[in-house]
Amino acid sequence: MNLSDFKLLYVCLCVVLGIIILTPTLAIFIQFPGGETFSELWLFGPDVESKAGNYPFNVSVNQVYNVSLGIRNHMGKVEYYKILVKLKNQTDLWPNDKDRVPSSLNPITEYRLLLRNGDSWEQEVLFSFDDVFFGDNASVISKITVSGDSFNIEKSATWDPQGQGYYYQLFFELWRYNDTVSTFQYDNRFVSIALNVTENT
Amino acid sequence: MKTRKSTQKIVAYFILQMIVLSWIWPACFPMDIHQAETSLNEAENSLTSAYNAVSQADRAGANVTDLVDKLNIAAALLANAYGLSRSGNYDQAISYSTRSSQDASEVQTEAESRQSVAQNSQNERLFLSSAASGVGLSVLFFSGLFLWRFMKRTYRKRILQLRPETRATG
Repeated sequence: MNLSDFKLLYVCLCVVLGIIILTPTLAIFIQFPGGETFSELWLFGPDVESKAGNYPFNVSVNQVYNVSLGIRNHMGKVEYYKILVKLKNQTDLWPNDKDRVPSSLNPITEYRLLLRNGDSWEQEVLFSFDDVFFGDNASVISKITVSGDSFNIEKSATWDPQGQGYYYQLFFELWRYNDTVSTFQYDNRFVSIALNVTENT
Repeated sequence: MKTRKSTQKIVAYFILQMIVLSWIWPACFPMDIHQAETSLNEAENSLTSAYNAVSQADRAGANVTDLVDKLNIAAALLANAYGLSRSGNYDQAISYSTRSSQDASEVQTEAESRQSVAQNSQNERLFLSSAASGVGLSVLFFSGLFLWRFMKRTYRKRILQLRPETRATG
């Protein structure tokens, strides 16, 4: 090895040592990109242990049913969420995943919560249909109770001859507060359960 | 004596009237939807401001666990207030949203204070780290230069001390 080769090796070694010395300071300024950021939303039936979950399906008037609703934050920072609880019949539109548009239906009630990154929240949602009118080929729900609070609604469904029932869908839309535009935005996630509301036998 | 009795009667009548009025006043003038909406908007703004403060404190490196817990209570109160407002119970909606607003304001103040402390601590850490890196780089530069000159001198000395090798030819 001649002198100029040795000089090059020596300079490289010094540069590497310099970078090592600077690393703690650089770490304060440089932020490496994290993984994918997203929010989880789930809905379990009362029997979480079984894979089927035993989601309520055939529901009677004035009977209380329960499901477990949950969120986990993977957004890399504290997030402020709200979940809108909505009820649709077979003709109402679902939220549009493709265009990220929420359902235009008015919410029955809502949940609001803040979650730190990596934290999750789960709550049992109790619901019952308290005032339902069954007419000729149609049913009208006038009152629903969600987690102890009663709400007056007017939601009708026509008799489904194929499914032999009055079908409704109870669904939960996830909204997240966007601090850049200072408003809640639909997070393009919702979970739902189909319900066949039946008369008490 | 008679005047005193009549005065007492008037006072008693006045007090009774005040009590009855306090009972019937809310029934005569109930909180309307506009008051409820104003109160809900105020609570919404307080909560979002508090959330922004907590979020910034979190980014600055402050411990915000308890603040998030407190703000969750305020958020639940606001959600209840919206529910009550939807079901037409404006008085209670206002009561819940006012409590939510107060709780959120307290959290915001605390979060701003924690953010400031965390920011100072971060600046201190940055200063110490920069100073240590500066000293380290200076030491590396000068010791590197000194070592290089020493090695170069030793190398040259060794070269100069070499004797030419002679070989017998033929």
